Amino acid sequence: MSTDGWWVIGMGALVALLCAALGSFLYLRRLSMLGDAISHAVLPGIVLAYFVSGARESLGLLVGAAVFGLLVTYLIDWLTHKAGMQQDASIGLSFTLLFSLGIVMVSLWASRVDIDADCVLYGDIALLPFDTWSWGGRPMGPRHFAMLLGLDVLIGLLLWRGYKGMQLLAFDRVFAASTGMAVGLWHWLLMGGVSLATVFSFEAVGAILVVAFLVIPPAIGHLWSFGSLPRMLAVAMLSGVASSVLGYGLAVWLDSSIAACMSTAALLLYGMSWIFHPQRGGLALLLKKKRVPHAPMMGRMR
Amino acid sequence: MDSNFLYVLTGSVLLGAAAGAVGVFGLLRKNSLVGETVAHSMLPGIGMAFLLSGLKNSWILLLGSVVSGALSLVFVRWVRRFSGPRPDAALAIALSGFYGVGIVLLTFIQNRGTGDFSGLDHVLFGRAAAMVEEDVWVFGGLALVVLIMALVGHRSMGLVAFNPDFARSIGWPVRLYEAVMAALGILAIAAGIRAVGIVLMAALLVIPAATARYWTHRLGPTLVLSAVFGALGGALGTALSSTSASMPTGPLTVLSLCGLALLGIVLAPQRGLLSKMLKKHRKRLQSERENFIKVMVLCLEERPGTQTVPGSVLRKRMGLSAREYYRNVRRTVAAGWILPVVGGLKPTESGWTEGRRINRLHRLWEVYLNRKAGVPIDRVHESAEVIEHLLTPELERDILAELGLCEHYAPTVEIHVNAATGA
Repeated sequence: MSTDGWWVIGMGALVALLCAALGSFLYLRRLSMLGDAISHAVLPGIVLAYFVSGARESLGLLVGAAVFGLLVTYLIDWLTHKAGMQQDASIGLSFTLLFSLGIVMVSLWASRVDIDADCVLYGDIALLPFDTWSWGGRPMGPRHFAMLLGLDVLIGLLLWRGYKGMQLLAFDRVFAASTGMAVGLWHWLLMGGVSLATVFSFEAVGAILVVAFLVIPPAIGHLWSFGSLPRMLAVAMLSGVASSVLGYGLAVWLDSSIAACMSTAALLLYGMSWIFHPQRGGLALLLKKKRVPHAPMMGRMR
Repeated sequence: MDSNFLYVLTGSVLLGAAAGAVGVFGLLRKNSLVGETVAHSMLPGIGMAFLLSGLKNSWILLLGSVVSGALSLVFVRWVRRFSGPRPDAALAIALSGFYGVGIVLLTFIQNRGTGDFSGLDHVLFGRAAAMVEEDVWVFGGLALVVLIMALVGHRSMGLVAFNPDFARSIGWPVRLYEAVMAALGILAIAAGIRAVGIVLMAALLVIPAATARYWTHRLGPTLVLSAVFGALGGALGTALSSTSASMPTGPLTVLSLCGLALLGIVLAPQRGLLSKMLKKHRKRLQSERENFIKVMVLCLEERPGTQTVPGSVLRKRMGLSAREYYRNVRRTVAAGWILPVVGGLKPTESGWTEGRRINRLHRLWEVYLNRKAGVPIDRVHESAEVIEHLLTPELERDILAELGLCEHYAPTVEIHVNAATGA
């Protein structure tokens, strides 16, 4: 396999690690569709930043995306609590509105913005290895790889330092608030992290496939966690990395979109859990010859 | 206006109306994002139908999208059963998983380079103008059928959506109704993606229904209004996108729908922001008026025998500036509660009644708080200042009953004053 292939797998793995870790907390807080909403809603921020700065790697991109990621969270809050709209409807309205704005901007400024509808939908992970940078004369590999690595480290630090807070918030928001913890701050930190992760993953995998990385590996992790959050995170991140490796293989074999193949691989891994899970999997059920009643599997994880 | 544009416009109006009507049921079940999942999940069906048949025939693509839309709903049920009750995660897994498979198929077809692929990418963001006459007949006809079924069956489907347990208890085949609703939804989405595209189809289901709810509370009118809003959005989006060759229909439709929603959010009677603000303003004026007459009557009760209160006394007691005082007087006179006379202000007959009523409610609440809730006497005043404007005659009766007092009980002095003076 060429070096480019390895770079692509590496970038896929970094995206998967990032999304799996943040997505696990979204998953536990039952906010997975909010992740979907944010991943759509950052589009106008990205387009605006491209339009203003004209460059791909800029602080503006970060700021623009973070602003719109938080804006959609705020808009949903406003519609639900101030304008009295049902919550699911306000999610549906907010992100389709922002995504449409983004698409209209892309269409209007197509000649001036280095981004097109294809990139929005599939990302162009296959092209990213060609955009390299060097430092002190030494080639340092693809620029995007370095940026993703930086963000992974940043989010990793955030989750490591804030693990207790995130954990408490994920499982018992009311208790967390009663301990005097700044619940609102942690919530916004998580949402900000998701926005940043979405933006950086965006170029690699596109708007909608980010959702696959945000939700499917955490779902796998949840199945194999058996009540332990660290195990859930570990399994989620592992299966994320595994799906990016598998997905690349699939893409080479089928000659198809790499990002989409990675998310398909994640779906396949999730399907494997249906078969091989020791308690609820198809094999286990066959061996037991008896249907396990549909009951809470992991007392602590609910 | 050329006839093809008229065809396309008719098509989008029908598609929008059908999706709008069907979306109401999703909204009622607080599950409107399921449309997002079903729409995205149609992509692999479309790709597969094209791959297998090699045709871009409307019927075949429709069949493919309906089949994979239905499969996604089955998949969501499975995920819920397997991964536990996390509805949002089940929706997101189905959405992103199916969509990913769809993109794999589409790029596979594209890279293989067989068949005339162009036009399939319109399914993502919609291109109403790309509809040909046959499409309009197929999808418009389908939308019309869905619309009529939704309107005809709205009573029973509304009951099932509102309260499935009750429907089951009176022996209705709830699962059948749910299947019919799901089928209508899938058909409406499968037709609608021709106009707005897969990515933004959810908006066509959610926004008209949510907008209609601002204007009415009843199911029938909600359904009709939602269909109308959907049709308007479809028409506006199509008309706007026909002005530019590069502009897809979907985003413009969504923006039009959001404009309509904003109108509802701001202007709707009762639920709109404007009318809520107006109501709040009226309530504040009423409280101000009531406070004014209340203090006036208090002053008069403290000085038995007097009939008028000098303005300076009132102003000092209420802590009002000259301007505020003038405003209060003007409004209370307009309400017919006071008359300006020589040497001050004088309550009219209705003014006396009103002032006494407010004072009585104030004291009643203080007594209630002190005796029943055990609030110390020096802390009851602030709460009573607020509640005196809100107590209805029914509540007053309840409080009296709770305190075991007769209807004519009238505490004469505010009790915290009593406590302070030791009287």
